[in-house]
Amino acid sequence: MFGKILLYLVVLFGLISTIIYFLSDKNPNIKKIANLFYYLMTASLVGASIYLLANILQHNFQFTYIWEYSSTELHDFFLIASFYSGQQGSFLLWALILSIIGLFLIQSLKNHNLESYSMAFYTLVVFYVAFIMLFKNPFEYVWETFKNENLEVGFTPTNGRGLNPILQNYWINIHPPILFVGYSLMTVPFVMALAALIKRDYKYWINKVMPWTLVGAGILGLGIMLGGFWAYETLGWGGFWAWDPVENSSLIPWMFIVAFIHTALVQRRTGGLVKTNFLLGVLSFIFVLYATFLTRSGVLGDTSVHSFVTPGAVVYNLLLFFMIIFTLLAVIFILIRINDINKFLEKSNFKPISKEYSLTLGSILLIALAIIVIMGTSWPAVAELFGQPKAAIDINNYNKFGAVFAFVFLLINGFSLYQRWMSSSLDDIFKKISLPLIVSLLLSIVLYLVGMKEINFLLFTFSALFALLANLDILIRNLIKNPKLIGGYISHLGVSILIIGAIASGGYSQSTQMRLKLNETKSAFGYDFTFTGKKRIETEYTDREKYKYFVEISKPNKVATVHPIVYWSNFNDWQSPFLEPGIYPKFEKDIYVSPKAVETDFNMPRLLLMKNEVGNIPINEEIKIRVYSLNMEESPFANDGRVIFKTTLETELNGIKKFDTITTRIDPHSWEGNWEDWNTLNNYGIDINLSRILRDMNDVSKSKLEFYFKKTGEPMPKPIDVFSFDITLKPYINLVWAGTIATVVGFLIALTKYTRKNNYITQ
Amino acid sequence: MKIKYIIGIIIGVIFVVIALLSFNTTKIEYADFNKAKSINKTFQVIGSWDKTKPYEYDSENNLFKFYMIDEHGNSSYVVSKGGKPNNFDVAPMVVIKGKYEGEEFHATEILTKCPSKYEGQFDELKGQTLYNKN
Repeated sequence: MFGKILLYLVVLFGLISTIIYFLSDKNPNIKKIANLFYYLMTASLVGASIYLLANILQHNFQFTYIWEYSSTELHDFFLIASFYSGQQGSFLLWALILSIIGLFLIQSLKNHNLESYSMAFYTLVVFYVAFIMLFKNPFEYVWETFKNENLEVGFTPTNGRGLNPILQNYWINIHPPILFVGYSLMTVPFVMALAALIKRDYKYWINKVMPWTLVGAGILGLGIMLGGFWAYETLGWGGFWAWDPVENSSLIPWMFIVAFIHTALVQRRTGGLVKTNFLLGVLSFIFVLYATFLTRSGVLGDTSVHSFVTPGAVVYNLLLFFMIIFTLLAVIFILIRINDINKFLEKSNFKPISKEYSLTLGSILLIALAIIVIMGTSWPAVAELFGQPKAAIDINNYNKFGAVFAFVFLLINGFSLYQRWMSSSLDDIFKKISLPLIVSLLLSIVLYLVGMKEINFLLFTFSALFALLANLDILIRNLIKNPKLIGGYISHLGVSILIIGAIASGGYSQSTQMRLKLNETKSAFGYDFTFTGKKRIETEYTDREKYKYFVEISKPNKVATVHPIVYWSNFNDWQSPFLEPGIYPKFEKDIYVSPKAVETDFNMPRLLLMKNEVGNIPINEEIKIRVYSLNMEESPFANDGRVIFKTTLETELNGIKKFDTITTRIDPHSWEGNWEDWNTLNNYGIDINLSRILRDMNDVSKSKLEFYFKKTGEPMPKPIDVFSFDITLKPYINLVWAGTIATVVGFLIALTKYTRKNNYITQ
Repeated sequence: MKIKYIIGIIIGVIFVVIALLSFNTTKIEYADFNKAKSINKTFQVIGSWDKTKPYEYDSENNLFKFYMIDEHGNSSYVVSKGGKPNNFDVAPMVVIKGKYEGEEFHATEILTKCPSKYEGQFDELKGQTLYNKN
């Protein structure tokens, strides 16, 4: 009840605040009241969030949302993640983060002429997200959700469903929140663009919006790459980007905002691209809404492993409406003002083959790539809409187009650094550009000689090296003169490094399989691999058996141990383990060990026989043995669901034949026996155990029976673990992470150029 | 002014057409097992794992074999290179990509849906017991 009331208050305060903000442009003295209601809305959101978190931590499973996404076995750390694991909670997180960011926006826009309308639209967005929550409510009780089942009011399940083991990793507390902050920041350029259009500020809004754009792009980019790192470190397929629709939908807004940063810079310097900037300023947020719609409406359904299930018609329509209404708003505003903008435009200083020309070209390329990603991601949904047979696109399309565009982009980037603003002259460019150009050419030739023979990789690497060296060159020149300017160069440097790392690790990785018994050593890629044991961890939890497996990787004089994880959980009825890789990071490559299977080798003599096939008993090879018949008895044994098999064996030694019938309890699902049902073959002093029936799916008569043998009276030898894993070498993958860090740092440094003290162009 | 917009639009249209053609010629259709068996092409098939039939992981050859029932109720034997995918047991739905070789569907990829996105089923509300490994 309490939680629901808070949510209603959020919606109410949000609506009032929005209306008053709209009115406050003409009546500045009511701005304070609008702010007040904004603070009340934020306080209610904080209250609702604390209330949800408290209930999660106290395991109040009577709330449907808490029952679905948490359990008593979840470590407190992951209970926090339960907050935003599902639709309802993630809407709450989104609204909360939006409202807090808005507090900073209020301060930043104080007494600025865009203040009223920016805050009006901003609060409208928060209001809308909160409004959706009324229909997808995190505070709904189980008896309300399942009201068709006549649950009594007050029923409290004893435990929740818990979180998927594969998500129980510290990254779940890092990646989603950062991503949400990034998404939320995209709202700021949107609302400012609308406000600027209304107030007919076609020039100065750029200065105001730039710092927000830089922060947003930096944090969103960081959030996206952290997701990639999480996938690499945990999921075991050795990659960090799969062009999955949910991944793509986070990348698209980022590409638009980065394009906007560059076109905004062009406007600052030359006065051009005024209309473009209004368009790009709104598109990033619109694609955030598109991403939200794609992933939460269920439209992608079967085509993405990430997407949520259908949330019901109401929420579907609300999300669709969200996207359409805000898009229309932006489009209509731009169209209304287009003539006015054209009148305002001074004779533009935009020159061809100039610095601004290159930046614009680069932005166009980025947008073109974004459009490819949009088309590919929407394809399954759109195709279905047009009655085409359902199909998924080949993700190599993205790699193909992406590589071509990135190649051109890198060359333009490097070249543009030596160009001048508002000047078509290329006079001294070729002198200055010759150094990075020649060095990158030389390095590429070296790479060719060393083994990189693929022409597309070579071209791509050449362009990345050129961009890297050009940016490094300008960066060093500016380091002393103008340290505040180096942000952009650091980011471009980061992107070049990231691309080189992606080419190296993606194009030149090598892989092999290995299967080791305990303490066994085998070699691969010049290293010795030894399986040295396993250790159970997190023993305080009864819903799991989690093991660290130790694999030693050694070369003469150097030993390292990796710890892949094999995690048995009741989440899937202990059927098969969840697997995590072990990684040995070196500078020039990662050695990536990905567990595939764990088995037990029983260290006992073993024989596989088809029916009527004759074999020799391993303990005494002179004894021949044949499976004469195999019969299943109908009644299950002792209510445990197992079936009794009676196997009649014919044995022969020195010409004398004998028949023995052995009894085994077999699990009818796994076709495995057990270690209690040893039968003695009396005349020989040998015990036999039918451990497994390996059914041949195509021809039942070809099924094999697996027997183990031991001497009568002797105990079973201890079984030993056998560990199967893939080994992959990922060359220079760490450049991907280093490049990411550099890119993000660059954004933050660039930010400092726009802090209050330096922002001279104000109204 | 006008001419630059016209050129821009033409280039844009050409670009979109190229992209669409590229997507269209490389797309992988969804099909059921009957269709996939009759045409020798790579398809994606949606369905669920047949729990009444056994599955096995062949560690010597790194092959995972199981039975699957598609949306129209057809059953097929599926062989896939690699281990058992992480959420296989709890995923109500599974998408495989590959083509038929004889009577076996050779899958190059198995996609299982992430179960954390599923909303709770009513039956699980009551009778929540901690499972024991036998």
